[in-house]
Amino acid sequence: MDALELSRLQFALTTSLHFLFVVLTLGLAPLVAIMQTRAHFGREPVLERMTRFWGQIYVINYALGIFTGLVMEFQFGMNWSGLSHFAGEVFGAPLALETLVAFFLESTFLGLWIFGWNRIPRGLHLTLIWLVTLTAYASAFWIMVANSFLQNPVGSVLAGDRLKLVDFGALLTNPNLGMALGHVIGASMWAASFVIIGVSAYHFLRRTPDPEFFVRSTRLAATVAILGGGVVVGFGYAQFGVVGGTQPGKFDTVGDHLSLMMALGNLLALVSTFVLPFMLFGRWYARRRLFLRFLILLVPLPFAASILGWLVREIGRQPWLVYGRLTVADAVSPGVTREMVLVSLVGFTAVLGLLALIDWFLIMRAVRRGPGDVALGAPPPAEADRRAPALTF
Amino acid sequence: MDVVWPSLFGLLLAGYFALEGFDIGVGLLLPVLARTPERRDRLIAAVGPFLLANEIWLVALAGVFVGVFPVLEGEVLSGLYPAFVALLLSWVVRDAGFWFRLREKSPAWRRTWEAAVVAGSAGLTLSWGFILSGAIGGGLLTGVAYGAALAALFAAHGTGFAARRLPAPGGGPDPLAGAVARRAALPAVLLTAVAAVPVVLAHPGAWPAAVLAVAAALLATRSFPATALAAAAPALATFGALLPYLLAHTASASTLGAMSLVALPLLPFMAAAQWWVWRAFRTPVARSFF
Repeated sequence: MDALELSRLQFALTTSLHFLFVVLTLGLAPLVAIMQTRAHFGREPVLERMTRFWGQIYVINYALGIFTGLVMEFQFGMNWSGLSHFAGEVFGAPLALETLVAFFLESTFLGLWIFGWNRIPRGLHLTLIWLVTLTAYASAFWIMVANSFLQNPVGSVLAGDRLKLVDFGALLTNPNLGMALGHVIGASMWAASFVIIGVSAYHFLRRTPDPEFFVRSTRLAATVAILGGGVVVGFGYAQFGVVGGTQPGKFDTVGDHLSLMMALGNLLALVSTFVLPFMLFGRWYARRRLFLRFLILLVPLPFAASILGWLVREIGRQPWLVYGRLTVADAVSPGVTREMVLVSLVGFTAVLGLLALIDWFLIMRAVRRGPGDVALGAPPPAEADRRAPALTF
Repeated sequence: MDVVWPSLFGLLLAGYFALEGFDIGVGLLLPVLARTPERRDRLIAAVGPFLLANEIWLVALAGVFVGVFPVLEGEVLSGLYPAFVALLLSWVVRDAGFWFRLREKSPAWRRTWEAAVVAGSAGLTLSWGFILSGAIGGGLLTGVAYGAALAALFAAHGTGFAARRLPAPGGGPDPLAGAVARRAALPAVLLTAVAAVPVVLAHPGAWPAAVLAVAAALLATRSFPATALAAAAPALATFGALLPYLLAHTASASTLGAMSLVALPLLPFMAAAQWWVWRAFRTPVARSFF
């Protein structure tokens, strides 16, 4: 493989890994925010415990989203300097805005939320998780603005050998943006809710003596999964018309990925439509072991479908990096050799791959420990001593 | 000529070094400052709540780089390829140390991730040495000199911060961290002076920036704002040396105007969010997540 192929592989691996974590982050953030809101106003202890348990899984998962995201951000300039040279004036603006006004705020608010338990006043602490959610979706919006420009380079004209931005509004109203963003949001709602349903099923199987906690979690997640199903399927089909207009023939080259994604999507849609509505009522499923095992098996599917969806979108763009304007081959950094890309590919894949495995291990450990042993938001040591049962004899 | 966006770029660059400088300094000196697990917990908890709010300055800097200097961004990142690979790997390893260390209780697990914090912090320092010197055309030796100067400046900055965050039992700053902070100051000045030489040789017009950087390093024994300025001095000197070149390569007015429209109204919120971090964590947290 030459520098071009290796650079493509590097970007595909980093992006896929990134999205596996980000799709869960995007889905869990509003769910945790809803839990904390209900805990705040309802004052039920179980909702406070739900916020901390699912919040901790959200936070552990978040770490790898950052790690892979850092590498991705720099990869544009390192491996694809032809892109910033040719289209940086257009593509760079949404990227800059994503980091500056969305992720900068998100990261700052997240730090305040994680370390601010039992320190920042409750109402402000609740506001923080909503600000984290809002800025996370603002991030997704700007990234999709940048990505949609690659699919359909609106708002720009060729001046010499470079693109110039002439209509910023056209970037924000790109027909390839809205439907795809909605599709991603639906996918993340599915990812997060099937994780919560699967983890709860695991605890029902283990007979963890906390059924109220997992019934409440399942009910909320099932509601979101049912809604998410409508969102992901609706925006998915809506994209066919748009893509047919802007990138004709796109789906001919990615038929296999597309069919597999739609097969997974249809299975999840069947479950969301015909099974999950019954889980909104009662706790009849808590002892149905075969059914619980089936729910656990569903957990990886939204993630697999999400990756396939990205492959459809990005492989279907080939051989273009900026559709119809700049090929991938012309965008690769001229001064970067095959050996340089190979060494960095091995380094990034080994380090990020290992950290991803460790992160999933830690998520599973946090799941297994259950709601009784959560570090996030644990009361300070002195207060914990006071709350502990008095063993005075 | 637009001055708002290049200024914002400079501000993000200086802010990153002033803020991450103390995280990295504490990470570098973790084995010296903390010999017991309890003390390592306290030391990492002293910087932990700031980590996300500090490192984000570099994410924003890189984003603004591509938006404001689109052509240079690709040239610099691909031109200094090995240094940026090292920077990213070190950054990820250092952050993994912070995020993962307290997730398991075994001492071996915690020692492993403490080693990741130390190794990652050292790698970050050296990578920045090569990037800042490489940006002005420096070679291997210049990179090492820059890296050594940064290490001393970060050490002075981080230990000074830690000394004030870890009060001694009888009151006053932590004696060990305080002593290390005092001892790091002289090497910081000398090494910064050494690293300034190639800057002036490569860019004779940049001598005021180099002189100011060395002068700033003299502040490395003082209060937090002074050590913060000292930690940012080498980056600001490189920025100063390259400023005429940077200004000649900004994006078109249409790009910068669009970015201004969205970003400038939100700058006060970003400043407020950062201020909130410093206000909320002005005293150490009782139970840290990192």
